[in-house]
Amino acid sequence: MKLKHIEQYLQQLTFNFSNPKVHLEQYHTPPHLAATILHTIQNNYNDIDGKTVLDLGCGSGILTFGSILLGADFCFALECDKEILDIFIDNKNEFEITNCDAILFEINEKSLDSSVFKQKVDTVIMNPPFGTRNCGIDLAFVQYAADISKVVYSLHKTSTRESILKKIQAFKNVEQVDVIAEMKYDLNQSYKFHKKSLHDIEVDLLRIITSDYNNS
Amino acid sequence: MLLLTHNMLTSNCIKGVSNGYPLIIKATSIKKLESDFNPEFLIRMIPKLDWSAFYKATLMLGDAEISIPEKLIDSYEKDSEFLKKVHHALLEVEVVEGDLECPESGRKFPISSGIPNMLLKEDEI
Repeated sequence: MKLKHIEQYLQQLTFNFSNPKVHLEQYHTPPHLAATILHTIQNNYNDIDGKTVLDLGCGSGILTFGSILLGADFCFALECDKEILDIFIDNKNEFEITNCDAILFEINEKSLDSSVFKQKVDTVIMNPPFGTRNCGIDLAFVQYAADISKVVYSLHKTSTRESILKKIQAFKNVEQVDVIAEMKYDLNQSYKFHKKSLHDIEVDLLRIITSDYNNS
Repeated sequence: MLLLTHNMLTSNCIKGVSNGYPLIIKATSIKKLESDFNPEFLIRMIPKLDWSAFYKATLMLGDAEISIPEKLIDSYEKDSEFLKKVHHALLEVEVVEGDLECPESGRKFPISSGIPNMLLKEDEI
């Protein structure tokens, strides 16, 4: 599927939530960025079509619905904020999608030992919080994702690349981590403290291969 | 919440709960969906399911249309009747309202608008 078609589809989703929560670092993933991420994953690595996908921190669901558009068998959508899941459900109903399911869920210190998702998911695709407000939450997302899945795609700030790659590489289930694309994140005044009209942040799309990758 | 999702959920994050699986379903509202039959997906997913938890879940819903055998049959890959039953039970029955209940602690996780709320308070972990 062409990038432009993915983007056009994703543009029809509803994202507006009037009151983004700063402590959760709720930044909407713009359709162009989401489409580029999904197109890269499917075209270069074939990790969406025919796969069971999990979207960790799904928000209004742009990566979930995009994955399904690109042929995912099923997508689990996990999110800790109930309000934003209302928009997810509106999108799901509007697009008449049945092969995804949302769960109100939060990563805690015990989720790693207790997850039933372990080895049931092929691919995690996520845009986690950057960890600017809640230090370390970005890596907690990656660690959980790497523990349950064969391969993880995750978006992180380019400015902290070296330290993030080093920490991810040290996780026990991680075999390999690569920066597969450099992208620009246009936050476009998501919050009042963004003074400039355009607020481009450079981000890396990481591909993380776990020790379960070759057991399929 | 579909039964596929129910198969993935546990309450074992709660302090003092060792297994917490499968969660007891107390449904007050159920919706039937129509979704595309995807046998390749089912064949890939069936070996990953906890079949006993799936079977118990179908009993908890108490609906005659939702019926799967207690034990997973041999060579299910070729049995399209069987796969269609699994498809219906796993992917076409949505628990819209109700509760999931921890089998050990009795802690209830509400299901509202189809979304199970698995959030825990800090002192529960």
